[in-house]
Amino acid sequence: MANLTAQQRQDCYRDFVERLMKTTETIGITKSELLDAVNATDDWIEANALVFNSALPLLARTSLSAKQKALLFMAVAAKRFGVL
Amino acid sequence: MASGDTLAKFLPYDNEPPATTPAAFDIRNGHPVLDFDDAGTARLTAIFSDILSRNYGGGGITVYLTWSATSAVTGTVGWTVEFERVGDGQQDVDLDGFATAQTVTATTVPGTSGLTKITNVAISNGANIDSIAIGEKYRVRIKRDVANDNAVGDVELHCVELKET
Repeated sequence: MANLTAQQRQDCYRDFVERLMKTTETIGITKSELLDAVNATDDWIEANALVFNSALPLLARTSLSAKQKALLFMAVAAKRFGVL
Repeated sequence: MASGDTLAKFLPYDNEPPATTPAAFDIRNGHPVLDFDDAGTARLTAIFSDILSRNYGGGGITVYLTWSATSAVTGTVGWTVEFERVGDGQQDVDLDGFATAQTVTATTVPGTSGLTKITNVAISNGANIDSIAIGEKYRVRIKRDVANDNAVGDVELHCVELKET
């Protein structure tokens, strides 16, 4: 799967900021620095998607769709860091 | 009235939201505010109207904005201010006729997101305030200058003061 487009990364930025506005946490970086972080996160996912896939047990690896694997990753990360 | 005197004060409840891209009314710990996000293209807008005081002496108008950042504790916030003379046969109210936008220079946000900041721009009399005359209705339009500021997320406008420069 290819990297997100520039517009999709901007959309990610918007989604993240909207979620951030609903929390009580402050943010100590600027718009361009945050967008750089979005870009770096997308690059990291692109570079490590296969590694994550390989880490899944065989049955999950072969039975879950790509979207389901993405949801799985999000659910675990969110729970680990208290987002959900 | 003379230089340094207040000509008008506007609070969030005084906002006359435009049909498109209005700044969002919000409450922060009981303080009414208008939220302006950091979006690049659809700049959110607040509009206030009043009648120019008959005591205005023609010295120009300084616009003071009191604002706070919702979450940002770094970066800058800027604004643009535009005046529109409605007056006596001066403006077809079915159209907008705002004068050239005046810029409130982007300023670093407070280090605590709940602290308010007051920034301002001095606007000369005449064309820059759309040549509003005393006793005439006018509108003032406020937008966040998202192209020239870099604080992440929403900025909250608490109040606007117009003072004779």
